[in-house]
Amino acid sequence: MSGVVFDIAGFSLRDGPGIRTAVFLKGCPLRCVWCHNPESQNLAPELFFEPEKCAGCGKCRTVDCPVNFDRANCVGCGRCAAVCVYGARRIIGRRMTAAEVLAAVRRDVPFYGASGGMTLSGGEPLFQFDFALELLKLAAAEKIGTTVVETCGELPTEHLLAAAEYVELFYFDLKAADPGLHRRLTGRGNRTIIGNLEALAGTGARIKVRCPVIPGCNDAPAELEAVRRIVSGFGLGAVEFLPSNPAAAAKYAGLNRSYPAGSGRGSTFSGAADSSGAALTGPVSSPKRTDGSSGTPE
Amino acid sequence: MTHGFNPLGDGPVRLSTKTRELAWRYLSGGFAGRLVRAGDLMSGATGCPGADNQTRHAELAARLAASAPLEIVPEELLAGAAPFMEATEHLIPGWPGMGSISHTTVDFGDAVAKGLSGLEAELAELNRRESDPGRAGFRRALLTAAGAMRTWMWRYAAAYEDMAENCGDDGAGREFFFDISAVLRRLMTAPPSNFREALQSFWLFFEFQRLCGNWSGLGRFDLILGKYLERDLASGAITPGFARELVAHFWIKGTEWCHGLRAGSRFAPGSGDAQVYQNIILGGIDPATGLPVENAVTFLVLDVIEELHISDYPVAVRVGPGTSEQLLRRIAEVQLCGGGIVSIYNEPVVLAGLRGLGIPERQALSFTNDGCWEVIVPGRTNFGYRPFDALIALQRVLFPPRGMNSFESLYAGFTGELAKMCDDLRDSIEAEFYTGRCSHPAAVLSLLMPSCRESGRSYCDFGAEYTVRAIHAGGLPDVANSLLAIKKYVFDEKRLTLAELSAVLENDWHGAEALRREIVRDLICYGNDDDAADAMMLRVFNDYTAIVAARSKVRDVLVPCGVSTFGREIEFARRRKAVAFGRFAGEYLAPNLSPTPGTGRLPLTAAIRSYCKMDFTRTPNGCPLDLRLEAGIRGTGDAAAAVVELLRGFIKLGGFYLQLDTVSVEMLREARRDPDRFPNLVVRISGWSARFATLSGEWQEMIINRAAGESRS
Ligand code: SF4
Ligand code: SF4
Ligand code: SF4
Ligand code: SF4
Repeated sequence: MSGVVFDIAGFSLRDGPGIRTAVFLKGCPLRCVWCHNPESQNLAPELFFEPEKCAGCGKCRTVDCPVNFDRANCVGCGRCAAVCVYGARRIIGRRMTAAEVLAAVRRDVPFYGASGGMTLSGGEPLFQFDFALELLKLAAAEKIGTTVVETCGELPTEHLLAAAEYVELFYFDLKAADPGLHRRLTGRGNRTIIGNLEALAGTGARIKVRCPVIPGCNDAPAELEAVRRIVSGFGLGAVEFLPSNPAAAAKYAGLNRSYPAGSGRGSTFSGAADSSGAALTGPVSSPKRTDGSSGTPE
Repeated sequence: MTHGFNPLGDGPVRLSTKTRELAWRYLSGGFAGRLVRAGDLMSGATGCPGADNQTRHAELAARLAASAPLEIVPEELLAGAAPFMEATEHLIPGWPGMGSISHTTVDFGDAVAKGLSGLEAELAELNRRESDPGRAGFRRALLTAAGAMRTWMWRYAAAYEDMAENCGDDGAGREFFFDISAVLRRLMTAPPSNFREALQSFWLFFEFQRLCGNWSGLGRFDLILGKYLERDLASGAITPGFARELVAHFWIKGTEWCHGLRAGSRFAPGSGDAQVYQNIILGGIDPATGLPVENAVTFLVLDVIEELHISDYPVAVRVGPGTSEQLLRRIAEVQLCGGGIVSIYNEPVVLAGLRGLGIPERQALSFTNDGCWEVIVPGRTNFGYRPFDALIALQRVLFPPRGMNSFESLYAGFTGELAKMCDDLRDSIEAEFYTGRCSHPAAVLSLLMPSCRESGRSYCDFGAEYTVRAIHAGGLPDVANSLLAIKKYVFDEKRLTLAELSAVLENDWHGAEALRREIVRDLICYGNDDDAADAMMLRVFNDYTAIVAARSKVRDVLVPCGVSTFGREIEFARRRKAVAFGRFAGEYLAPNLSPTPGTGRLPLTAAIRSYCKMDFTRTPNGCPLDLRLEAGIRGTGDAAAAVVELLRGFIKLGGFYLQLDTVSVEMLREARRDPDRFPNLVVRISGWSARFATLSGEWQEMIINRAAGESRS
């Protein structure tokens, strides 16, 4: 079985207890306006372009591009990236078999000790459910450390519960209590997510609920209190409120996408994100600037 | 007033305000002004001009001991100082132009246990049975050196008594100074009977050889002192708090030579004002009992380093199967404080290497280092090493390229050159020892070397049981990476011929930038746990170590194998042309056996895994891995627990020696711009740590380059 992985980060100390290998799977059902990993949202591998690295060598223009360098229709075939020795063009996301991923995770076994192990992250790691479940089962069968999953909660309940059998600890995001606010911030309401949190809590799984707090978005005291109430209603411990900032615009630009959180830190977000994350156009990124197809340094 | 000692942030405060104030004054150069020059005490000296150098040296020691300014800082708990400027310059004070001795560790444990009078009694007894007049004469010189030390102690004891008497009505002051003088007087005639005396005794022996210009390492601090402290703690004769103060004073006084002037001096050009090879070993098996050493002293030392951030004694912990969880945790916590002050040996691997050299078990178990990290048997070893850049061996077959039509013939050419370089080093070792007897003055160090006393010969003249000149290759990872690139692009993919590549490298990649970029992008180098890349590294490592092992003795001189660069990356860079793995001429490349900076695609666990694929019993003299943690991890969850697992992994996988530093690259850059803002910012160099501000600009650049190229976690 294979899936699309956008990064495997060893020696991670931020994705759960101990030394961990974080496997970032591509694909996410949400489109959070502050998302720091927009390259994780789409399931398919995609082209990432960094104009500041482009030397204007023109090599990329010599490949046989299936869409004739129409970036908007780029299919992420990677031909142009393969010849870009300056690293300006890269393909984000690689199809890997579960065995390949496990081999990478296994390498750090000498360092996991009692607490470290594999963390599945994303994107939403359970978005590629069959693949994720396979990884969890393999890690459990081999007793590779302890396994952590970082989930946004937006997925079929049966998927979540099936995965839970192999997971030591969940980091579960609850981004807003108010369904309307949640929809404006992430593109979807929070009914499924809250339902899933309740179901998961009912299994006795170890869960740490986290709530990214974005100034001007979801930081009203009443809103945070409501989040706290929902979580304690399920008998779960304290919510970890993580101070966050809107993501850097450059990553969106690199994907040829507009930046949903406006022009900068502290800006009040009031618009709506649609499922493509392209409802708002930030002043930082005009589509032209991100188009490397001219083959000249920009 | 509270002082911050660690620019990355201070930890718990356990020491008294007075002691912290004292540390602050030392570290901010408050005592630098008291260093004086001894000048010329040899011309017009009263000693016999026909006497041999050891006798003249011992007599000079007597003159130094009688004339050295006494440095008494009223709040200090330990007495004795080594205030001669020449000593800080690696010279024998009073003997113009005469170099002193470093790169060894004498047997302070033996000296402390026997006491000065015990050493004298032993020498007298040996001479009673001696029939060889030369040996007897040599021991008499050692007796003169011992007498010099007694004179020096007596002067301090008397000065402290004067201080006490001048205290007038201040009863506490009187008692304080009388206590110190009483300790000194007892130590003149007897071995120490408690921890305070033992620590003072250790300090006096250490300081006396420094007074005379030598730079011995200190050795197994907790093994030497632990039994005294454990006994005093059990009987209630001392509190842990006071013991910590005493240890802190030992650390504070160890910074006495840091005057910030050494950058640019001819002995340590730019490598920081604390590179005086005074390493301390903690932990490890006690040869007498076969049990691991871990006692109150072990932990007090780590407390003091954590609190005062003093890096002048680099500390290496021998980690083995018996090392406790608690000790590993303390090591990790101190490593997270930055400065790279505490490193670890993998004890079983070091021991296996020493056994392979034929060192008897008990001596192997006693191992320390020469003051950096090169493994030696303390008190019995005259140590030195011969470094060379292995990349030069490869350059010799590439410029001009020697009609190589296969990778294997190129490789054979390389190992042939490598063997020649090692042979040249052996010739230079032979010339050093066998063109005549070495009469270099070494009476003071010989006094503290049991094997010199026993043999009746000087340290430099085979008095040490082991005379060792290790061969140390640098640049091996750069060689492996170059070979990987040559194999792939020249021989496998045939993208260019060897002659073309040679021309490209000769031209520093001029006109071949696209190829260079492609190689940098695609070539997986050593250090990424990549099987093919690491196999090349292993091949180079095995061939190099086999070349050295093929002749591990030059007559009576032991020639073990090691891998090092220390800071030699700078000097190597000047002779290096561009390399095939995509770097330009003159770049600072791999330190020790660590991956070349900038070639890491995976975090540092991959570097550990790659490095640990070597069999380090083949490098009995040492082969370090240098790694840096980004300071940001200090704030994540239980970072110390993660570092413990890192250390455990290193040990499990069979590493040799790990120098782990925690750095903020940003802070290093700021300190490069404005050193005065970070006077106590400490970085690991290799085998020693340095206050960043006292490094020359070139060294600062190398350290930043290394750290920035490696931070991939
Ligand atoms: S023109 Fe720019 S993007 Fe295209 S191959 Fe060259 S460096 Fe890469
Ligand atoms: S732009 Fe590049 S990645 Fe996209 S379709 Fe064309 S060749 Fe493929
Ligand atoms: S859930 Fe996470 S990955 Fe998905 S859009 Fe939101 S922030 Fe990005
Ligand atoms: S050392 Fe020898 S030559 Fe010199 S004074 Fe003494 S006895 Fe005479």
